Parts: sequence; structure tokens; C-alpha cells
Amino acid sequence: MGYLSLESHLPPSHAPLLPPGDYFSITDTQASDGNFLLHHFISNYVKADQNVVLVGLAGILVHYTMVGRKLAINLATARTKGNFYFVDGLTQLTDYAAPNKDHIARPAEPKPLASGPPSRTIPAPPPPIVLCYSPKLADFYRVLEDLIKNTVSKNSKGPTGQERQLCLILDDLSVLLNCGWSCRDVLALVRYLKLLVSQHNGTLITLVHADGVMAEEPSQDGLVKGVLYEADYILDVRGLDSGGSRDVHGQLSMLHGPGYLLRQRSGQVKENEWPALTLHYKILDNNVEVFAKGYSSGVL
Amino acid sequence: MAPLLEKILSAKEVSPFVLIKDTLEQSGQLLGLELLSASSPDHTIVLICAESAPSRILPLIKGKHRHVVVDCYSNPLGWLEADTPELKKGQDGNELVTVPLRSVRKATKTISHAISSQNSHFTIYFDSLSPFLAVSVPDTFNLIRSITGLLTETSRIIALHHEDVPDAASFQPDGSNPLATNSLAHVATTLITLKNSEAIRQDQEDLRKGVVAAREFSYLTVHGNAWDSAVCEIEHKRKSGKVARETNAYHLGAPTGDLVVVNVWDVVGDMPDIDKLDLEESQTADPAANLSFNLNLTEEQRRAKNDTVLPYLKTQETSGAIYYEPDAADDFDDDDPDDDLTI
Repeated sequence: MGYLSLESHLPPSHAPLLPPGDYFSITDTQASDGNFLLHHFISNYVKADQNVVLVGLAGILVHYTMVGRKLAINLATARTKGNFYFVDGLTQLTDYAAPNKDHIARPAEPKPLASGPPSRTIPAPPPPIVLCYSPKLADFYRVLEDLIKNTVSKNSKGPTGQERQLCLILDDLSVLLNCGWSCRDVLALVRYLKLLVSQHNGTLITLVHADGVMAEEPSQDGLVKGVLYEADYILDVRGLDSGGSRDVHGQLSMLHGPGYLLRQRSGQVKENEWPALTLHYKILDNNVEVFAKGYSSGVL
Repeated sequence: MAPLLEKILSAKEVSPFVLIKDTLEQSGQLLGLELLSASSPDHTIVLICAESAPSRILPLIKGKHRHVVVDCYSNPLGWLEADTPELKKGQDGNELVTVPLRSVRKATKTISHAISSQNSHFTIYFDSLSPFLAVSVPDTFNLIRSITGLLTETSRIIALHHEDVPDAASFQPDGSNPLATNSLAHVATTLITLKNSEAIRQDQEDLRKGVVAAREFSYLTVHGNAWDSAVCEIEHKRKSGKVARETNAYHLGAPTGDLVVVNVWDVVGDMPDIDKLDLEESQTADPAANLSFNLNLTEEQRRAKNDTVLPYLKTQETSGAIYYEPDAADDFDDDDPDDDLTI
């Protein structure tokens, strides 16, 4: 189980999992990283033996494995079992990681000396897998599409026979913008992934940075707003208005976006499923405490 | 008198192009769909979805209209294999066409074709113009122009526009382009600006207290997109050229309940007018109260006072004039007397 105190605030319909077909957007700021929320979802899905595809654009696999160990889940076993898949977008997203032919360690040429045991040739390290060589984001989408289809086709049924849920996590959308793709392309990627994942009984979770200082830049501003217009559920993580505190690390808001309003209007969500409210949180060594404003254990 | 918004909803006021301007904080989709549902039942609804999936919008349109859906949502950049851009009959009797939004010009062709192939009257609904504007501002205006050319007497365009979402022009470094929001407002015959009622309530509270509470920057607050009410500022241009401005609000009893148009003070309380506040203040401190002598006049005294002709007050009967005859010794000076001043 992830963070127990957070669980009660998330939509209960498929608890501890998220409702399939929906899009969860997490926004955070420089002062308070929202990455801790991703660990909650990863651990919930892995524990429930569901499929997880994690696209690490800001974090490496070791980071997630280490945190997973703290939360008592073993991502390495989940990987070998095939229901956790890590896409290394941090080092292998574009061809800047592509092997430069001049620098690859060549196998040592056999020495002309015939006598003596044959010298051991050093095997060349396998070249890093590059997700998309092309400068188009569409190709990155195709890579993810193949991967998700693969994962789902291999592990579609759970041990009890019911269809497995899928969780696709992009741990930092802002990175894509910084890599040079336009706001329109990144938003399109989100849209395509959302549609793709909902076909496979899955949930899409993304994280994007929503700092006030970056709002002056049209592409950052456009990305955050576009994501919020697209999202079904919005989780906002930010520092305390009043500054830092030892017992409260920041505030976590469940927000209603325009998409939620439409779903509410058509009666798809119950009134109290996702009440708009602000909570406080404190990150502990192997847990995160979420509590109502003013109910910090340091205060009471 | 009925609120202006109600007249527009019930089509008592003719308005061929209703533009709903909203923000992330308060979506106008609810009001837009209500306007759409109110269109007369013999109209064909042309639904152009660029922001929400058609499957999410269609159930929210009440009434038994025929629907033609232009889906710009599910394949925005044409990454998936595109269908032929022709109308197809869906299972539910609606006609559907999927268009990528990579180029607004191509989309314009498909959309105008979808509209002109309809024989009956129609209402066109844009679930948002912002995705179009994000591709190209001039092409979007061309799209609107070519659609308005197809409008018949009773047809109507209803379009949403998120004024806070940056459009294609704002990515260009030169700021010489006019804001698309303002230009759109010129084209529209009715402009409805949605405001969050809680935000207005807070503003009023600030106004009453005389201090503005510092708020941290955030894209969206917990009060955002409340289902129960929103404030609508309406600017309606009549055919005669007269412009009517009114601020109304809508209220819902339940998330899926009926939308009722109400006066704005029913939702946010009385608008504190600064002049009115000052007036109230001056009225409460009446200097003539609690005096040991009488400063007030009776009606008879007042009349007598007003009728009294005061000495030295003669009414002037002719208009005044200045006669000037220059003297021989007059010294005309053409120089500017203020020459030494650096004005």
C-alpha cells in the first residue's frame, strides 16, 4: 500500500487503483516536488499486480527502485515478471545518446602473433537503446504505443482472471518542452496517450511544473493550461503560502478542472467523490502523511 | 424585466454569433451547451469538438436534434492513420467526420463542406476556438468568416474561447499582433464573459475591508469550476446597433439539475459600489442631527427663500462682446511671450 492517509482522498470507485480511462494530472512547483505522489501510484499498482509503464523523463530507474524498496515493493521482480516496464527517457530519449561510432570500444584486433593463447577480446558494450532517433515526437509516441500494446497483450489477465488495469506514468512533461518540442506537440502526445491508455483499461498520470515565474513564458504557460484543460482529475502540490515549516512540507490540493465540471454535469461522477479541497502533507522516511489543514501532528 | 441572458437563451434576442469567453478558473462549457440545447428542434447541430471528446459532449445536449459531429479531438496532429475527410453515418444516427487539426485551412474545407451539405437550419457549436487559435490566428478568422458566410437567417454560431490560453501569435516575439480575444469580441454579436462567483465574492470582501489579501500564484484554485453558479457579463449588440450590457448569473440546484438564470446579486450578494459606500458613509454622519437649534427649513420657508430676488443680481439680457480699437501708440508684439520657457 502506498501512503495510507492519501488513499482516502482519492476516488474510491476502484481503490486502491484509479478509475480506468481517466487522466490524472499532477502539477508541482520548484519549492515542492510532486514526485512523491508518483511513488504512491506505482506502489499501489505494483502491489495489486497490475501493469505499470513508467516513462522516466526526470528520474532514473535506480531512483524508483530505491524509493520502491522504502515502500516495501520490489520493482526488480516486477520487471522480470513483466508487469512493470521502465522507459528510460532521461538518457535515451533522443539521439544525443546515440552511439558515436568513433567512440565505441572496438573489439581488439587479433594479434598477428600466432603463438600463445588467443588474447581475450573485450566485448563491446551494447549500444544504448534510443527511443526515437527522429526529431518528431510522433515517433516517441509510436515507441510507447508498441510497448503498451506489448505489455498488455502479454499480461492482460490477472491471476484471478479479470482484466488487468494499466497505469502509464510520465514523470515530467516539462522536460519534453525543454528538449525542444513545441507545446502543441507535447499536448498532442498527452492527448494521444490518454486515448491509447483508455483503450487498454488504463490510467494516464503525468507531472508538469506549474511555477508562477514560468507562467510568463507562453510555451510553459500553454503546456500547463493545456494539460489542466485535458485532465479529469488535478492534484496540485505547492509550498505553503506562509513559507516553510518543520512539520508541514507543503500543501496538496484536489482541484476541479473544466473537464471535471463536464463529467459532473453528465452525472458520471458522484458529488463527493473528489471534493475540491486543500490538504497539508509531510514527507517521512518511508511514508507521506496527508492531513487536513491545521491538523499537523506537530501542532496538535 | 427578464435578465438579458435569459432572453438570449430563449432566442428572444437574435444573435447569430454568441462568443463565450472563459478561463481555466471558470469553464463556460456548461452555459454553452445550455445555449445549444435551447436551439429550436428543427435545427441540425454541427458540433465541432477540438477540446473534449464528442462522446463526452453529446450526452449533454438536450433535445432531439440531428447531430453532425466534426471530431478534431481524437487525432489532433494526424499521428494516427487518417480517415477520408467525409461525413459518415455513425451507429447512433449522427454523422461523424474526423479531421486532424494540423492545418486549420484543411479543417476549414471539411467543416464548411459538412455545414453546406445540410439542408435544414443549423446551429454550430465550437467546444473551444482555442485549439484552432493555437495553430494559426489568421486561419481561424478565415474559418469563422467562411462559416458566417454560410449562415442563414435563423442559424447561430456558439463558440467558446479560453482567453487565458496562449494562441499562436503569442509565441512570436513581436507583440505587434492584435490580441485574438479582442478581435473575436468584435466579430461576435454577443459576448458572454464567465467569472467565478467565489472569486467575485472575495473581491467584494476585499473592497469592503479596503485591503487586498495577497494571494499566491496558482493556475487553478479550490473554488475553480464550481458546478452551482457562475457570473456572466454580457455584451449584446442588437441589429439596430444598440449595445446592451448586463451582468447576470446562473444557478444550478444540483450538478445535473436545470440551469436557472438569476440576478447576479442572488449569487454573489450585493455589489458594493464605491460611490454607494461613500454615500452611505456620508449619510450616516448627518451633521444636522442632534443640534440644539434648527437648521432645517419648512417647505414654505424654502419656497420663500428660493423666490427672493437678491440685490445686485440682475439678469443679463444681451450677450457680452468686447470692442477694441487699437490706439496709435499700441505696440504689437508678435513674439511669443513664453518663448523663454522650455515648454
